[in-house]
Amino acid sequence: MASKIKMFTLSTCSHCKATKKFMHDNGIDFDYIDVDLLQGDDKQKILQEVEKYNPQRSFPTIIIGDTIIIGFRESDIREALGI
Amino acid sequence: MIATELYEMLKKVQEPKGYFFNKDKEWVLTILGDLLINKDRYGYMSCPCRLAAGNREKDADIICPCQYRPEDIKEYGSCYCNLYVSSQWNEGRIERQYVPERRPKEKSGF
Repeated sequence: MASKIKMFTLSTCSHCKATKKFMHDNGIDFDYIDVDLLQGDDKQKILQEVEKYNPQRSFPTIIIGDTIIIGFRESDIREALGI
Repeated sequence: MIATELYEMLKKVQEPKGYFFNKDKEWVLTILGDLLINKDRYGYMSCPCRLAAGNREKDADIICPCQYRPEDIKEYGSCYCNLYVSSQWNEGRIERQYVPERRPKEKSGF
């Protein structure tokens, strides 16, 4: 079972919403940041962090333990979560 | 404008071109609602699945329908957001894969 889950998302993104719903439906705790709602330096700082995990900076970028998943790829997410 | 009005408006224009809305209407209306949010935010309907720069010139390639839709539909049967799809995709006659981001990194102006 992976440890803490962190997600970089957009408030308007359908795949991001689907990912959040999946986590809720499966009772998985997660932290997320809706990057489109940030401004100025805060946004740039977070984008630099996203780039470390996903050079293309697309959303959602999901970090489950040591695993990075780009996009709502349900089977990959299930595998990383061990569910 | 509300999402259902946008739905009817776009359907008339896009379907004759061979671009169909995903038959999951709830999914479609959510995305159309998000397009309207982006229209309020930026002044144009930037793709809600991508981070906009908030500058029309920089975001020109991702104003819906985005420049990547024809290639994505040709290759995967669906656009990046699963908003516009081919009839084969809707009918389940092609495998549904997650559509990867086709936009080159250099194009993102944020």
